[in-house]
Amino acid sequence: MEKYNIAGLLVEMEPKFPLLSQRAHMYSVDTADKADFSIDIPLAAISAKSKNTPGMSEEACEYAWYGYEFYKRLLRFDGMMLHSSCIAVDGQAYLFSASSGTGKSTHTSLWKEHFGDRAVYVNDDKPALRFMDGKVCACGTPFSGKTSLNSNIIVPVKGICLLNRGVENSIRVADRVSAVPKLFNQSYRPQDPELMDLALGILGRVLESVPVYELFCNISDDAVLTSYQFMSR
Amino acid sequence: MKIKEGFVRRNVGGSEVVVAVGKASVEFNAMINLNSTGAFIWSLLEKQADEKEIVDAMAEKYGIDTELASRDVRAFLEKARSAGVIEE
Repeated sequence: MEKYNIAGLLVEMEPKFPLLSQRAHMYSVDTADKADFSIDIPLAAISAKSKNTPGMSEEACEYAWYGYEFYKRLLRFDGMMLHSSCIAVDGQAYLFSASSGTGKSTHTSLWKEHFGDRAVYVNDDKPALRFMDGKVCACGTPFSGKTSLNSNIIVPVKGICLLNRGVENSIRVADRVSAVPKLFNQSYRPQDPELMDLALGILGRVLESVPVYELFCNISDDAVLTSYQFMSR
Repeated sequence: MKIKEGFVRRNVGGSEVVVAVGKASVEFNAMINLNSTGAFIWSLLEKQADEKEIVDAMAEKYGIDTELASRDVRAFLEKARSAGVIEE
């Protein structure tokens, strides 16, 4: 099987459709090293899932399912997925998390416009967070939702931001207690008690290691200045 | 009266939370935040205490009269029941 280095993990998988294979291409590595794990979902299972999921092609099913399996296994490697748009500026990662349709990607696209080459997308929808040398790092993965905006990079996290729509722009340090369920709701939710225990443990340690903010923003350059100036301090 | 199977309590980043796993998570997929009173009542429910025992323990721990304690306990149990967390 083909090997990929994703979030510092050596993953074996054999994409059958172009969407996964194209997005994963950047992470492909040629090595004889033993993989940390492999993901192998039979084509028949993907076809069956696609038939039972209206509006989802086999290709889309494969992509989503491999992503799901990757993030599930990530929990055993001191990492978690956070549903967020993650962009790095000057080598530090900023994550904007919210439910789908709130405007995470819109906000980071304004950052990209503002910072130009100084800004690099880590992952527009589902970055991996991993503890590396005691620090929380944001990792690009091929699993970036609707867009292909992801880079094969690993960057220390400067801050996580809960994004809300607002008429005007304001930002504050998030209340820790209410941030817990909000971030939990935007992460992968295991059914298995042992994995759930891992997931909650990792989330707790992320919260203790990285500042969390709450942003209310509109769509403007002022929104970028509001979030960047406060979070980059 | 006890906590249904499949509810896991944990401290996450300094706050006490409860989530469901396995079968229980099909019907309940939110995260419950427990304040200090809630966490105290929860730990008694884990030991299958009945309502009176919980009220007495609350009154003693917080130095309040049983009337006030029973109001708090009832409010908590009502919420927990409607969330489907308790088995009678």
